[in-house]
Amino acid sequence: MRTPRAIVIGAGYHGCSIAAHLAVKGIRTILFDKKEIGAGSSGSNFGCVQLQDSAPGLSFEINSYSFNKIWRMEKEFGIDFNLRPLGSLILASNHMEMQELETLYTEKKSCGLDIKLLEKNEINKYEPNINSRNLLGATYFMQGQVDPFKFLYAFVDTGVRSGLELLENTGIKRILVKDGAVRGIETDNGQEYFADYIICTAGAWTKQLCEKIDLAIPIEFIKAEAFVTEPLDPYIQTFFSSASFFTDAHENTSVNTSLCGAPSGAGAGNLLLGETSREWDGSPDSISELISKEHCSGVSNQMKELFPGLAKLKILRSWTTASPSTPSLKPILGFAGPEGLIIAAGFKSSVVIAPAVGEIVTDLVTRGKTFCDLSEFTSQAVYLQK
Amino acid sequence: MKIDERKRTICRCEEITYGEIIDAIRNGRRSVKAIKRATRAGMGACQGRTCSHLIMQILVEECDLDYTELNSDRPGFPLIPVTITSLERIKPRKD
Repeated sequence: MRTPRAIVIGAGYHGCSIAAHLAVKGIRTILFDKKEIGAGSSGSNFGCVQLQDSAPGLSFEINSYSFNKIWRMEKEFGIDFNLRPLGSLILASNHMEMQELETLYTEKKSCGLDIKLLEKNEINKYEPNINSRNLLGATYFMQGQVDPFKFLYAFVDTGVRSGLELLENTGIKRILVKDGAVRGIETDNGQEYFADYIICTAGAWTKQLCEKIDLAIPIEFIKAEAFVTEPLDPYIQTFFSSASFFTDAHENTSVNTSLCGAPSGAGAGNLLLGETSREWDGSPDSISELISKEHCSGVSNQMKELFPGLAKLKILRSWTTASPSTPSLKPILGFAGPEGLIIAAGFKSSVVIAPAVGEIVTDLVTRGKTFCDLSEFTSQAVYLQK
Repeated sequence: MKIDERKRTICRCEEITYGEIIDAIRNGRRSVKAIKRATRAGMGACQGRTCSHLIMQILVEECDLDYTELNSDRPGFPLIPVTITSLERIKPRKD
């Protein structure tokens, strides 16, 4: 039998993981990105290996499978992506947020997660320099963090050693379909590449790529914004985030600065601060590279409250990105639309699940099925040509 | 005394050497941004004001590229380091 050929669109966490897994299995694979590896939301995030915010059910099952896999990967693949344990604190500053945290705690506890519900006076045990005066409580879970770029390059370099072809700065104009099956892709400069499987991991761009072949993918996205500060001695011990995220996120009414922060995944001592939630209409290309003014004052005010000791810390740079999700908060993963098309997009927390996604998609290409039933995820995609 | 070329510092802020830049290029990184992501050169206090030019020069020499083919790494906000507190003075516009 002829070895199948695969094309992966988008060199983010999922694209790089899938391309590496496929290449290692001997599948002839080309990985495309319209810019460069990690140029989109994958290279713009904090590298947190998150399990605490994963939704119960299939998402949690795959996430926790992947969470265990990630800790073995550096050794198994002989790669280094700076994986280290990092606690995650979600902070509540009012009763509504505290209620959300109590629900989260009960839900995660019943999934078997070793999560803690902290009272106000316990927070400083985990984050000694935080001003907990106006906080009500928090949840805490020990998870991890990677260096996002090392993580991405580790996958790509592993793939390239097994014959993966990488084409950066090459946008995809359309997916080619004939007689109900994918045939290949056409690039922005008019060149055609043929394959038996097309794997679309284009994040916020997935929707518009699939629209052209009458496949409706419910991907929406927010403009996420972040700052990086100058390095400092270990002062912040956790990935901290405000529980206001649960109540504010994906509300279209205003820019909600829902602060989160973490030491940088590279381990150089810089502090990362983000993000806002504002749903974005139109193309992800139209997102401004500039931070919103609301975000500047929002971050400043919230940092003054939580870490007054860092008032004089200097900001070095900022960036923005289109951070994708789905209305159901469940990812779209699996076969959808024409035969041979696989979608992997809209994940809530990508670092943690990327290793499993690579394995699952490789299963789909080599065996047509995988270790779990993905219909809960794939049913969100609607193929209008059926 | 012979100077070891590989040990020459290219990015002073993050202490990244010529050898590390060359290794990144040989691993397939082909732009100032990609080299920055791979090595941290340009992620320090000066945000690549000096080293990005040196890195462009190394890319041109190593990869047989033309300067016009290189995507430079555009500076981002803020142009000079500012304190977290000073961000407070940036007020949202009232429409």
